[in-house]
Amino acid sequence: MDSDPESDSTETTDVRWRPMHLLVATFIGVMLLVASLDVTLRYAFDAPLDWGLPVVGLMLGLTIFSGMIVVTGEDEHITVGLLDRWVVGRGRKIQVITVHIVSLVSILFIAQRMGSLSIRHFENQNLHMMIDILFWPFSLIFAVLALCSALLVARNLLRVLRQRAEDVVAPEIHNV
Amino acid sequence: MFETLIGLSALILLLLARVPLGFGMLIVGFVGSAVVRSPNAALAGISATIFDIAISPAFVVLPLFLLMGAFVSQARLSDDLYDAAYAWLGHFKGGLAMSTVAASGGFAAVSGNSVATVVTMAKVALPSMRRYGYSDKLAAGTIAAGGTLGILIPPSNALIIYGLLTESDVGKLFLAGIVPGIITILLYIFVVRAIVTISPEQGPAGERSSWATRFRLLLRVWGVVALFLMIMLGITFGVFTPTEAGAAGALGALLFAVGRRRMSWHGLYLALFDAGKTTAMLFTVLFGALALNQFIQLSGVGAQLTDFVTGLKGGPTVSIFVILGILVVLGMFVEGLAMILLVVPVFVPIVDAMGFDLIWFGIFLVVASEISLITPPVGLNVFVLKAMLKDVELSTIFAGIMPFFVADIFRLMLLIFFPALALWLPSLF
Repeated sequence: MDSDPESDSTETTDVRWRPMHLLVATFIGVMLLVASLDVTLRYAFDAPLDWGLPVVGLMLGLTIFSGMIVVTGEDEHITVGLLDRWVVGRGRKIQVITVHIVSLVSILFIAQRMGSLSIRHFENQNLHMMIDILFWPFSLIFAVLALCSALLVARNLLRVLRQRAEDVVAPEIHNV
Repeated sequence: MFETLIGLSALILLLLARVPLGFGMLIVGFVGSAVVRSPNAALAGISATIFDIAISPAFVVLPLFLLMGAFVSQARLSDDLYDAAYAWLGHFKGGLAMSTVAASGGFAAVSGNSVATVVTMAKVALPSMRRYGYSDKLAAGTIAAGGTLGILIPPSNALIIYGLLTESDVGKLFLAGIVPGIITILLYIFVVRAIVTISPEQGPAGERSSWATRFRLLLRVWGVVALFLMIMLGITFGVFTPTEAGAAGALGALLFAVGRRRMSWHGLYLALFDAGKTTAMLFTVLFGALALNQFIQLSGVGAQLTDFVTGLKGGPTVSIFVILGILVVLGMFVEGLAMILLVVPVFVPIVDAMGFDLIWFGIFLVVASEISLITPPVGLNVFVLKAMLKDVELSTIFAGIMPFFVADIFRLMLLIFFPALALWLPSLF
């Protein structure tokens, strides 16, 4: 492993985001590691990991919800910008505020649902179907991570509210 | 029916206002389900849907193939692919553009991503095409159109998402994408040939490579071939589940990149992070798509729409043309994966009820969404390319794309009238 990396947006991102980037990379890295190990052991030694698939699934959840913080903070959700070229000035500000409010409501809703589910998981002491892992810590972590995303939307919303209309810039359109 | 129309109208308004696609669908899906069923049922449905998907091992297939694409990009396999394609095709008129199409197809076979294919091929192919005096129109059109192959040629992220949403067999979808993918490559090469026959100055011939060079460069792409064959044969013959194939593919791509000394620790970190972030972006939309799907199923509008569409004079074929018309128009404004996520909940119940094969419809939908990546006024591949080619006018890129767009429409016609093009290969296994 010695060649130069290709340049990437990660390198130009605000340094405060680096820990979150590291967290996302770690979760998906563990997912890859466990999934690869499971496949290798299954086909090379006929001895798959009993806990492989469920752990991979849980890592997926952690990747999604930690990644949601980065995507939300950097305004990179998948959008469809049809009217952008015609929305300027005050209209642009109203548009961006609307988007932030709807996003805030949506993410708070997801956080609330995960929180509520966590309480139910805790009360019923629900276990994963495949291994003896309690669900409630994970649904709670998902709720907390979603709440962090919501706080970031709130921060972005406050920023826009303080800006003059002509200074408001719509985030770039994103798709994958 | 009324509630659904209100819901879909609200969704369109939210999307027009630039609300993220996932959130728009989530809100409409939840409110709609609450109205047609009950708030409590809707709340319980949303919680279960989000949590179950978030921890589902079956859905891990998507990030694993995203990781494979990220490692392949880091390994710069595209350079080898382009060199090999150039050695074989470069000496023809328009040969560099043909090489770009062929290399795009090869890169798509291991990256699964359209934008990644455009970005990569623009970096690899464009300098050569400019050096040999290719017109910007042909060069940009070839790269933008070639990039669309990433969404169809397996293993394709779009096919995985379609499979997850419709509970279709991802392995069969991959197999079904092979023949249409090859047809696309051949059609695009034919288009290039036709362009340079009409105006030879657009694509002068390059240097001729010796046979020894051709075979030497061809051998260098063994990694791409090996990865592709491992995944496709593994899934086809039941050795791997799609998730296991994703894990094996990602691990194989990583080892290949490390073996070629093209993967630094930082590169590994970037690949992991990019795949993780894309996973979060896609799953946020998946949550919304499934919430919307729930609403549409509860509302019973699927049956009503089915009655309407099947009642159209001319039967199912006319219905498919109506759907195609909607997809092409929608594709002018909504892009690739977003379009698939948006229309699957609405159209799949209809085509299923009409008796169309859902594997065939998956390929049809993905081809239509490919076209959306290059059609004006909003064409994602075109905008990505424009961001990289600041000195080329957007209108020039769109003009370059037009012949490929015509080829794409022809390909859709082929798929409609000869569904076996997609269904023959899966039927063998």
